[in-house]
Amino acid sequence: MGAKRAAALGLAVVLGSAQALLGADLATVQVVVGSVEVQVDGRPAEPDIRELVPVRSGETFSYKRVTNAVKEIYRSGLFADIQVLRAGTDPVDLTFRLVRKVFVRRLDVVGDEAISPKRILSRVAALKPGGEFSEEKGGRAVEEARAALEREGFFAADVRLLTDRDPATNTVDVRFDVRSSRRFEIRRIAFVPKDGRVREESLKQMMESREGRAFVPSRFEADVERIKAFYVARGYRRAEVAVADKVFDPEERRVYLTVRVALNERIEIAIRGAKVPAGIVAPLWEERIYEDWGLSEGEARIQAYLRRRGYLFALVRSSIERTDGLVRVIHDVDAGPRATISRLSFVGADYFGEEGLKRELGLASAFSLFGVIDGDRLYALPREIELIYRSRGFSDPRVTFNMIREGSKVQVVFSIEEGPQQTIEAVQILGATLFSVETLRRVVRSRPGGPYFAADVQRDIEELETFYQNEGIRGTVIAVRVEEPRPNAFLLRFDIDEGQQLRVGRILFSGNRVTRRRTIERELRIREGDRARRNLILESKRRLENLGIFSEVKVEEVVVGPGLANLVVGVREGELNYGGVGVGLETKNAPKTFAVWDNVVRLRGTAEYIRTNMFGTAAQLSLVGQLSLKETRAVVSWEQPYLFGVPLETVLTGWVEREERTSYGFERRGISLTSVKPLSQAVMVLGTVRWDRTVLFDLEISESEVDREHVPYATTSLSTSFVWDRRDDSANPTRGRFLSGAVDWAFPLFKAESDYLKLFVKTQQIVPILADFSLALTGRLGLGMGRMPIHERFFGGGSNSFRGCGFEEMGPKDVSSGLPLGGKALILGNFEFRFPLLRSIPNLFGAAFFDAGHVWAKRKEVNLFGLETALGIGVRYRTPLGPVRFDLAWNLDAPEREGKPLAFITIGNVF
Amino acid sequence: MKTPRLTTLRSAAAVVAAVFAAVSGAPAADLVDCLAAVVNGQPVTLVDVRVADAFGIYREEEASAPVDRLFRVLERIVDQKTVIQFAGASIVLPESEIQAALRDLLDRLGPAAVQERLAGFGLDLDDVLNALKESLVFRRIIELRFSRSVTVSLQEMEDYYERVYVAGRIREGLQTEPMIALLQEIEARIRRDKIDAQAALWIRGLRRQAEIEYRYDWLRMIPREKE
Repeated sequence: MGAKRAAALGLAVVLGSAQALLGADLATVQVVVGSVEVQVDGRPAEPDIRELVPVRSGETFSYKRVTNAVKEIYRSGLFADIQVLRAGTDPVDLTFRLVRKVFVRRLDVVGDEAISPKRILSRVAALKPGGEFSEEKGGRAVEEARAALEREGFFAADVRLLTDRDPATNTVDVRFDVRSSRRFEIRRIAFVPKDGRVREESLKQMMESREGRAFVPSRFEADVERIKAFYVARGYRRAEVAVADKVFDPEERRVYLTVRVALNERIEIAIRGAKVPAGIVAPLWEERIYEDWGLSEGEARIQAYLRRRGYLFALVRSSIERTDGLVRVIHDVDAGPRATISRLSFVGADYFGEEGLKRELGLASAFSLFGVIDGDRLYALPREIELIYRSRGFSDPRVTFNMIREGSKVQVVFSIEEGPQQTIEAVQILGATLFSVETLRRVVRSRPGGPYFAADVQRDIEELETFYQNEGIRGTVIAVRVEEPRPNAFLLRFDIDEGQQLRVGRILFSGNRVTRRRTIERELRIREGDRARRNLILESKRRLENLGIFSEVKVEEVVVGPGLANLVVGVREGELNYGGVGVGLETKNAPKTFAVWDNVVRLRGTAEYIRTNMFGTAAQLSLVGQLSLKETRAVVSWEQPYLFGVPLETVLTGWVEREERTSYGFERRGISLTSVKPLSQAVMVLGTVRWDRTVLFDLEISESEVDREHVPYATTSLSTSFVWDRRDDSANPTRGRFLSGAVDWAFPLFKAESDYLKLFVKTQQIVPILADFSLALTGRLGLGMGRMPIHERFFGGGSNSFRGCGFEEMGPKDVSSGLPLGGKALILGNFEFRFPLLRSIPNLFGAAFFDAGHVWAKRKEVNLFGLETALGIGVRYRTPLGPVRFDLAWNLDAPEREGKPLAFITIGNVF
Repeated sequence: MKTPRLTTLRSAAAVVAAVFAAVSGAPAADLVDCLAAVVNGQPVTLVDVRVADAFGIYREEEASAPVDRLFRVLERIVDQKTVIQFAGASIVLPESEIQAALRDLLDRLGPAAVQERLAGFGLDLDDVLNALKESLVFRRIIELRFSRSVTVSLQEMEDYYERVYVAGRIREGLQTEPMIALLQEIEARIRRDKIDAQAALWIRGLRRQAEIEYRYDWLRMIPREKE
């Protein structure tokens, strides 16, 4: 019997006996609810809110009904306070007074100019921008602010909370008004006990707190930590440094500080026999620990360090020596020869087979050039293998390994004793009436004949619970009984105590002051009257969040009757306006080594304004302006998530630009319409319709039919592209693949001359090799046909394509000016090997690269043997926007360069 | 003809209103119900407090003045919910204990009074039972957590006997019984006091970590009874 049923039966027995004692019978005259009025913030509620109150005129009045209504209304998450007033005795007229939740818009601290609002507010947890405001939280926030002020040296602060509410948005601006406070001057800093090793004057020099200056407790705490770190760095790893006393003189406004410094013994760590940084072991000895544990933990860390570097046979012996005031921890290391693991084999892996087990361990595709795996993982493999076997029902697998040396290479043979496999004999599902047993069997992972693994059984329970939730059933309780009728054969019994089917009554919206109701409704995947399917409710929430116009989205179920719940969709609208300004420097000419000062250096600026949620439709308007020596650009774009009611993200863009390139300059204005459709998480397709008008100037190449100075060239085009991105990070990828393809068809329309077809394909693969090493391969192919003006042709060269020459300098040149012409065919390949440079700077990498490529004037001239090549080295520093790269490249096919490299500084990957 | 035990809901409501009046010191107040507190997102209403008070779930507070009593009952409910949310998920009460508590309530108030109050509030018996069960779970948690760690020494019992029992009896002019006859009772009393003290400290700590909000308007809207 289900647990719920048993409890209900027990309760019935108790109630039955109690009811027998009561024995009373109630007459049927009932007090009735007359009118029900609902007010929100003192004003009559809108119909949506009125629906949240589950008490109706004509129903029986009872305190139980009213109190349940209060609780249900509170659970909608919309209201901070609820009161119910009555008038009359029969009928009873009820008034529900609801007070909306108020949210904090801004927090500030005002008062003494020396107070840093940022530091104070960072320690106030009770109130945060975007969080709920209440008087209670305000009171707590004042206490926190007071404590924070004291940490910053403002004692006994008189802090008042001032609020400025905006009823239109239900937000409040909160100010902590610091009206007065006391500061104390440090009169003296003393150190106890007196210890010849402690030089007071030196310690005072390293402190920011000084005698005669204001006392700031947070600064003083940092000083104490600094002193401790100072002594720890000098081997006093167990030094205890703490504030011993603070004596305040309120009249004189002075404070006397005492710091206790107990150095204890000095601990020296010696690792002999191998170059292993003591830093990997030292932190173990900063606390009082069992020495045996410290020694064995230290040995384990040293071995792991050495094994990662190929010292597979490293042995460590440890001891402790004590002399007066000094403890010496000695690790004697016998590193042994360095070896590369060239081969792994598995004996006894009958269940998986050797190759199958390698696939399970992710070893199948490793490069053997640098070793199949590193030594550290080798020693962790037995445990990994055991876990894999356990997940397949093998309750007691044993894994050992032996190493066979062949010079500097090692073959490792794993011996596996699989032991008996525990299997599931039968799976029973009991208690289900709403769904067939077959349907439920398909939900669970456990199968007759399959492996028995306790974690899988737990997962099955969760899957069943999720299944019921997704079918709109709430309150289902699932328990499992596991029996072993025969050795290693298990019987699973799932006992299901089904809950109740829930349907969606009304769907109510709250918090949308700007956003139209229709904008929210179209993201919902569930309708009134539907079953309350959890997955659809969560999908609706996700879609609303993806609109990018809400800072919070909540979808709450409010039960209003048996099997009926209202859904309350509560949103908090985000900021509507965003602005940004960027300023930089650029040089007119390429900088030559350190002669930057000979260049013309000018400012480069970008300004951007974005207005989101235009007209409450989740559309976005953005205006971007760029200004620099070489380019000026103004772009206006309108982005919306739907196109004529179809969920298709669409961007309408208009632009005016002027840019100077190597062989030409151009002025262009145009308009385009792009739609983006994600097909999956990794795949996206785009389609663009474009019209633009280009006028070339400063044309440094011979004029032609399509390349004409000052004569406009109009283009109308249709392009389609797809992107398949399986990299782990688009800015700093360490593994994965990328593929994109674009076809651009320009045709004569609306007096446009355009008549060409372009294809461009990019691909990239990043292969990790051991920890932090990787190989990145990038390929690009561009093909064009038809009449392509210079500004539509392919160019190559520069820091983001071919580093063996300058920007756009690759390929055919104009006969008279010698400047690049671009072409109708482009092939580029980049091969880059990245490796960590310094362990102490994890974001710093070195690189060795090889670029190959060319641009041809015509497709039929493509010749894979005619590629230019370049070799180079570089340094990268990883940032959230991508790596900052410094590259030096030597063109292997340009003898005129006389071996001089080209230098590039760029942000972003080669792409 | 009405039997002595037949009650209409209308008159039961009047009884409840009278109960409210006894608490509020005024005829049926305008305030029917409101939020009194929220404990980690779980609402506690004024009706919850009044039901607990009407059925004497927290008898220790009965001696207090009416509005103070309601606030004390609220505090007990808040303590209870804080503790149960923290530690009550796995507590299972035996049916016999629940039955005993319910019988005790019926004996204390009398079936007629219980019936009237149920009718007045519009409650079923299982609503009161749920409130009783919650308080029993709370007490069980306290017992499980603290009773084993509490010891009572002979010295403590001797001190209690002399300073509290004997001194009290002398003040009242009553005869004292020998300590040996009262050992069990004294030990139980001291143990209870110690458990309560430790529990109070623990609950204070839990409350600091919990999100507890009070609403105080109802205190103003209920007129105080004249002292």
